[in-house]
Amino acid sequence: MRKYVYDFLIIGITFFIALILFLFMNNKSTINDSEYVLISIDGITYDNYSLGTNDEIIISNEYGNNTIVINNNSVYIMNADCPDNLCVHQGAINKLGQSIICLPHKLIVEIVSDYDEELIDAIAY
Amino acid sequence: MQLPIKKKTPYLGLLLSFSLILSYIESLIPFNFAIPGIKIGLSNFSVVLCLYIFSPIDAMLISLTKAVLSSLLFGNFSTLIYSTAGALLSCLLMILLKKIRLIHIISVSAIGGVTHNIAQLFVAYMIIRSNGVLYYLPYLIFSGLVFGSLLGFIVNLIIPYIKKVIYKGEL
Repeated sequence: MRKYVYDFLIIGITFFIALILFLFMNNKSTINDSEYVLISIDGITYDNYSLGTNDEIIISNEYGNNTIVINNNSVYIMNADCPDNLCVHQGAINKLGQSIICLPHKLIVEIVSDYDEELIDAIAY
Repeated sequence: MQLPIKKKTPYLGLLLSFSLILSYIESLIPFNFAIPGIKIGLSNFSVVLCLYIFSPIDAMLISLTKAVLSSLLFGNFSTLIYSTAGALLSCLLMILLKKIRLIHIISVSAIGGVTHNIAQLFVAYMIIRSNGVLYYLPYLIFSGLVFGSLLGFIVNLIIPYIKKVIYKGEL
C-alpha cells in the first residue's frame, strides 16, 4: 500500500481543489443589481423580474398552470398542475445560475445576470 | 519489448476504431443530468491502454486522431476545437505522469480525465467569455476523477490479457 502514496496524494489534492472551488462558488451568492429572474416558456423569454420584489406570478397557458413566487430574495414555484410536480418539490433558488424547470409545461425559471447568458452549445468527444 | 511498426499499426487501428465506437455508445447514454457536457470518458480507454502497452507517442497519436475523427463524425466544428484541446493536454499530462514512475495507472487515468474536462472548460471560457461557464468546474473535476479512476481500474484489469494476445498471439 505504501507504493500508492503519491497516487492518493494527487487524487486527494485534485479533490481538495474541487471542494475549495465548490465552496467558493456557493459563497458567492450575494444579490447584486444585475441579477434578475428570467421566465421563459418553450425557449421564448416570457418576462423578467427583479429578485428583490415580492411577487406572485401565475403562468397559465395551453401547457398548464404554474404559480411562481418571488419572495425574500428567492424564487420558487408554489404550485403547478403538472403530473409530477418536480418543479414544486425543488424548492427555492436564490443564486445566479440556478434554475427551476417544469418540463411538461416547458417552463424555465432561472436567475441570470446581464453579463451572463451562458449557453453550452457544444459537447466534446 | 516494442513491436515493429508494421506489426503495431493494425492494433493501433483497432484501438482507434474501438474508441470511436465507445464514443458513439457514450453519446447514446443520456447522461446529461444537471451539468451539460458531462460525460463518462469511455473513449479514453484506448488512450490509456495504448500508453501502457505501446509507447507514449502512440497514445498521443490515438488521442489526437480520436478527437479529430469523433468530432467530425459525431459533432460539429466547435466540438473539434474543444476536443482536440482537451485530448492534447490530457494525453500530455498522462504521459508526464507515467514517466514519473511513482504514479500508477488508476491515478494517471483519473488525472487524464480531469485535465480533459478542465481543458475543454477553459477553451469554452476563452470562446464564450462568460463566468457562468466556470460554475461547472468543481463538478467536472469531480466527475473526471470518478470516471477516470473507474476507467483506469478497468484498463488495469485488461492489460495482462491484451499483452498476452499481442505478444503470444493467443490468450
